[in-house]
Amino acid sequence: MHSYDLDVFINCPFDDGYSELFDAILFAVYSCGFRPRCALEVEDSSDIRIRKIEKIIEECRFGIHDISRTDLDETNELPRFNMPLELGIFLGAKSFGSSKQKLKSALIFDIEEYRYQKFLSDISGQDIRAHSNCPKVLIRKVRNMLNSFGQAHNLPGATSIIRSYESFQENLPHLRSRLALEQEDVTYADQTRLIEQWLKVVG
Amino acid sequence: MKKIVHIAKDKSGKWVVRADRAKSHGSKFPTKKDALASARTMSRNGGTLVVHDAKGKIQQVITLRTADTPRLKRAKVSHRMSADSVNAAIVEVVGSKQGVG
Repeated sequence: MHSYDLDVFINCPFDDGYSELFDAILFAVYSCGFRPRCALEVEDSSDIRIRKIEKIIEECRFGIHDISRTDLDETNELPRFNMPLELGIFLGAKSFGSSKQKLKSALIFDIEEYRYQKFLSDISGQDIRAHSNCPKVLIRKVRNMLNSFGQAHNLPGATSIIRSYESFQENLPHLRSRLALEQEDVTYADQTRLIEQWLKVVG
Repeated sequence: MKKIVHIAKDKSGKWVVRADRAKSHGSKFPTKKDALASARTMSRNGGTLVVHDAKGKIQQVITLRTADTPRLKRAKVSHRMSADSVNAAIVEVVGSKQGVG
């Protein structure tokens, strides 16, 4: 199977307040045999960031987009538009792209059902789900979406993935300590390595 | 959760294969090679083998998967920590909670 059919673009906030939800998405994607892709892959690059993001989106058949962070930034009192922008690029590629791009599927999350109608009403008609800021809900919905596309066989159940995720979260501070990693120093490369190996070793 | 099986040398010089939570029990073998072969058979339905050196230090962590388990796709990033060091840390953290490792 081509990597396009197994790559999942993750479009979400990357701040500390979202880290448990981000980990939940990563756990669900990895456990289902798919590969997570996101803008953090290009953190160290000197290339134009938006071009790199477009390239990643082009390489992914699936997208998980979280548009729930509509709050104003505490310092600047402005909202962050990166998630709606990247969602727009993804949907644009699906609409205007090649036949391969038209196969794209997006799962869009907000905190509450129908709240998006107050700030992003033009996306009505897309598959928009509520996660209530709950990692378990997020895992269940991501797993079920990936299962419905039938790209991978014998996916573990959502409950099994949730159990593994909770065990990982419980052990994460000890794991970081063993590896002499301070929480603020953990990069995307570190975090994905920790999760990949956790799933391989502990399951 | 996967079954974690340890292969380690005991005080008598034999190599012991034991599952987690069963420190005092386990099959004994004259050589490490025999112990590892037995551990692989025990874990043919998937699991993790933790191979210790003669002094008890973790030497290698071998992850086994069944044919019907989705194969994990690595993230597309560079500058990564070594998988061996992360595996050893995971086994130590999980083992310390179970009283083994």
